[in-house]
Amino acid sequence: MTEERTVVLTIDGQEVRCPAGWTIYQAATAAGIHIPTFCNHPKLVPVGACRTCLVEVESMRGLQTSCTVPVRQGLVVRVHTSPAAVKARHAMIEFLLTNHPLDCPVCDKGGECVLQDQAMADGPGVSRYVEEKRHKSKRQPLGDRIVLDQERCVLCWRCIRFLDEWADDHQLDLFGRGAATRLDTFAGRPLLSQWQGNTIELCPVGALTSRAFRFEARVWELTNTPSVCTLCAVGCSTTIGVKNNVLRRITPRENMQVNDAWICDTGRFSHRLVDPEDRLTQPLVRREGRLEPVPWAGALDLVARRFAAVLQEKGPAAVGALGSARATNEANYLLQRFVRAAWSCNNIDHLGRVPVGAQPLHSLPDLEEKDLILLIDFDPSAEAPLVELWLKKAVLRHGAKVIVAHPMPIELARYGGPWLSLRPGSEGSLLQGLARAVLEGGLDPKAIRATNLEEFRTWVKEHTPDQIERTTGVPAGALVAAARLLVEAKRPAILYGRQVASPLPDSGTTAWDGLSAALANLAVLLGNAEIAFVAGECNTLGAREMGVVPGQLPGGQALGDGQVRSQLAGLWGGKLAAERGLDLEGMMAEAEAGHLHALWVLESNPSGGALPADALARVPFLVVSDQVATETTALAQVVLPVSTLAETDGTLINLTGRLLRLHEAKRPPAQVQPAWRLIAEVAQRMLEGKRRRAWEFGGAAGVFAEIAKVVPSWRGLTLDAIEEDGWQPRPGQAGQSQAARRAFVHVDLGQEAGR
Amino acid sequence: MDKKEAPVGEQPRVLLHNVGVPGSHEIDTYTGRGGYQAWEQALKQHQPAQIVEMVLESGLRGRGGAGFPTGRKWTFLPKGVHPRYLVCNADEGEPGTFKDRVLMEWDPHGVLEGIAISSYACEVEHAFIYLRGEYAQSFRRLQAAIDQASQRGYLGGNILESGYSLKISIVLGAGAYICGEETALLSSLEGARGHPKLKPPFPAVQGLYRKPTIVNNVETLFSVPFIVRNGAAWYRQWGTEKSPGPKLYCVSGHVARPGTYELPLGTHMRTLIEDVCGGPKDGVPLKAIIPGGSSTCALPADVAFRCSLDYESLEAAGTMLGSGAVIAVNERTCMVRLYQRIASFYAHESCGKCIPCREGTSWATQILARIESGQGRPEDVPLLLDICENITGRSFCPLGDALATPLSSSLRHFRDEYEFHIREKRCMPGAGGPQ
Repeated sequence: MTEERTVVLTIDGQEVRCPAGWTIYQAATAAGIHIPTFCNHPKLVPVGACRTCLVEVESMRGLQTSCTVPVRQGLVVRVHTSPAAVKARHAMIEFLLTNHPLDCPVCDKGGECVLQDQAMADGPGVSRYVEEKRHKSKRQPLGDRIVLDQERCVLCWRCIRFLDEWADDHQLDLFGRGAATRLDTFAGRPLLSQWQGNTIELCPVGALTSRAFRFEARVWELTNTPSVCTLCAVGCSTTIGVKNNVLRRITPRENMQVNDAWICDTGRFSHRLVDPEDRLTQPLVRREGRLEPVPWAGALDLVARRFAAVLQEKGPAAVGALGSARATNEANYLLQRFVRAAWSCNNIDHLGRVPVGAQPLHSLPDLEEKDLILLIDFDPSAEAPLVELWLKKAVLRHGAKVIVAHPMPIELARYGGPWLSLRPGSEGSLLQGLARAVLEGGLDPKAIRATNLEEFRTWVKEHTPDQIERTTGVPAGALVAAARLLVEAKRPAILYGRQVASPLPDSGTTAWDGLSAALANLAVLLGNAEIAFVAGECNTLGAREMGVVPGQLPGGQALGDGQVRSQLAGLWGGKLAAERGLDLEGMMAEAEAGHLHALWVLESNPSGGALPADALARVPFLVVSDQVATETTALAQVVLPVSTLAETDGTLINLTGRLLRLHEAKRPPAQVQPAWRLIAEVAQRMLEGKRRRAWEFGGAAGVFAEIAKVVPSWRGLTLDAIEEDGWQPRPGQAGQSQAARRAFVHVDLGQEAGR
Repeated sequence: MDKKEAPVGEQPRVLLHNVGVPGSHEIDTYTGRGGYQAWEQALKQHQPAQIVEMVLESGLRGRGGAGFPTGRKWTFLPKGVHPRYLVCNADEGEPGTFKDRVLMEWDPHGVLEGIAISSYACEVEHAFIYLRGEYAQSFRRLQAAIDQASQRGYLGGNILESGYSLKISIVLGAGAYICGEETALLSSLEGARGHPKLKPPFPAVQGLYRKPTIVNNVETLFSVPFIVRNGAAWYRQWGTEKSPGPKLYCVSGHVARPGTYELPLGTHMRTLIEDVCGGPKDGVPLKAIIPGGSSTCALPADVAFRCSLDYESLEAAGTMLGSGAVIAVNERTCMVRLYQRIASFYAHESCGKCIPCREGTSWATQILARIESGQGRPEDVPLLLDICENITGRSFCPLGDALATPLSSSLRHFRDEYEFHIREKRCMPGAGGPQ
């Protein structure tokens, strides 16, 4: 970025400084000078259609729309000091109101309506209109998410422009002409975009209303709390609106490091996921084969007693716990602390681990700077939707190209790069073939800073495009074209997701070891490429960072480091075992063999598909803490209800390693607590004296304060110091070790399905 | 077209020299009367820049209504940016205007020759004719002419061995007045909704498909071959210093002989109405004259008769030459009804993009209809004037002004008629009665 030049201009006699390239509207607004507008929006390209922002500019004839005129040095602008401009703006509001229905008392937008506000601030106050108002379609469903009221529509195009400029999806347009102009979808088609919900906020009036929120509340009745969407790993900043302790509305909150100003419809309309109706509200204990409600104290005592008994009879190898990529850092941290300090074992893991050696995505806004993006078995639109918008921004505004290696022609396969339609399970071969094609594709060998280039050449020699076409089904021409784009790219990124990194059992996907080696080779080959793992769940990276893995302590510290262990032992009150514990697969094998006697599963549902259905059924004492009944709670001896993420104070780590803050946006059902508090209560029941006191926390902030002492990169951080747009550890601490690698590694594809 | 529909005056026959000639639309007739000589001459003797220079010197001004110097518009094309396009604006939609149709139906090859030479001057290899959809005959004639000219090698690849190639395509408009506005025309040509776009960038810099584009009216382009063949000085023998050349006038309304006439710019209105068109129809005196299409201000007949038909003189009188569509209005016409009709046209044709035009024209139309039907209120005249003031200069494109300016002018010039209508709930005596 070049340094921006500053321009000085005068607005209403006030000297205003702003960067060159701004519009008069931006400069005035930033200086606190109000100018009304409908069509102008900071996230959209100006159209100058509503004429409500007219101002007088010295040296320019007539009035100018301030949203379209760029600032110039020495410009003299009159907004409120120009009688002509004031009259013109009054006139525009009067014009708009001539045909706008006065149904504010039943309009959802009432209370946050741009027209209401500006009619009061900038309108003439009375209307001279005595004619019949015109009638258009009302209560018209645009699809299953939005209802359109054409009479309220002020034809500002914001919704159309949003879908065009951001989603690149022209599903809305204006039809008809003049006074009969109306917003609509194309004949007979429902609005299907997964971004359409954003048009509801963009709408300055009540023309587009949310079918989920319609008539749920007046906006001033809502208690709004900043929050984070937990449906995928992006972690979009949201605002949760609650009335009478019921979640009514989820809206995006601007966060330029994460979601800009948008959220996908999955997140926006996830009320029943964020705030389920069929909640577990009481602890359940299995009696004579049936789960029955019991008082809290009894359930917690039972859990403490049974774990203590198993430990005493069978030893620490017979117990274990599964944390969760969908639970807070605080809960995950305390769970592993519980396992390590109270039980002195390391049998802790979770579903959907970050694969060994995978580098998380560095930054979302930086995706905009990439000139080529290769997606490997990763469909942003389904797995991390906001990534789709960042990539579309790179494509639409900077001309980036996208190569899609995916069995399906996904949404992002529209953009310039070839679609590599590989057969599922042949990713490794494809990468090998790609490496060879890149080598043959005119890459300057001198640019490759590797010690064993010639050796690598011989390794990939056999993977000719024709051979790859046979093994993967990707046409040779497409492969060569993709390689050419990779060679030409200056700032390429290669993204893969959990599909590649942690395949489901029997999915036939190439083993991670081989893929990781093949990806590493591409990194050496291309030198400048960011090769990044896109996490799958809202706290995938947090579970790892909290040490919810058998071989690693919080902050990625080595279990084998005696000094770290003894420090933690002091803090946690307990002796820590040095031996690596069982991972998920290991625990399941022990369960099958009848050696795993007690297991605590935190907020996850491994029996819902990830594990063979009866794997957990063989654990004699299974404790499951979750919000709703699942396949896993059905197998449990004890079920402990916990708060949802919307009812919990705490933190998550999103797909770029950004620490995001959760608040208690609504109260949990009576006596239900956040998971971290349950863990602490059970621990306190198992321990005594000083060890017991080590489990007293004032609240989530107390737990967080301890994590900040333990995780090196968080040192000094407090929960309240995390801004509402999150906190990013300094780069380097996450560790970008790829640059240092200078040798190609041999790839063993083993039993790849495609071969 | 029969004789009655193509009346031609006895003035300089430059633009209309082929009109009325049997078979004038056929290429043999056209070449037999000197057609395509200018095109050959341009290709063989002139560099593109020289042609631009000639047109600049001729002082030719855009005949679509705005009167912008054509040569200057051409010089706005950024150097070295290709491809670039030329669009012939044949959407002729201004009420009262029918001059371009006469040219396209009677002299389609003349239109093509004008487009060809101008395209060559602007280094354009693909030109479009954006043709008013209702002009079926113009379409047939133009398409046949393109086919003929291509067969003879006047269009297509490597024209007359010059190395220059040109393709001309006709695109039919879908009936929106707004598409006569150049940016809306270009949107429509691209297949999008006909909405005007922000300027800058001007089409000459970034127009069709975001490439440099020249948009010129049919009559403007049609004038170019004459300038190339005979020189700027010859062209300047007609008209005034600032408004040179011959011009087509389409006269409609209450005159004895309405029609399309060719007269030099600067001709007196009285000459046009009384000498050329045979004076008022049935001897009923004229009340008002609209000089340049419905979007220009009507002048009381006595004021109009003191004007001459050129850009400056009419501007000084508070109106515009526009497209040269002169509409004569006699004393039996009710101005309220006339402007109610005109307003409803503009309300119907407003594209809907901006608030003042969309809401203002429709509001004004409702008020005028109310006055016309005898339900006017005394406050309606000041209200209408204020609505006009709130539209003028506030709308996105000049179409808002196209109603507001003439309406407010009529409210000022003929206020007594409006007030009579409101007070008495009927037309002023003599106006609007049975004719």
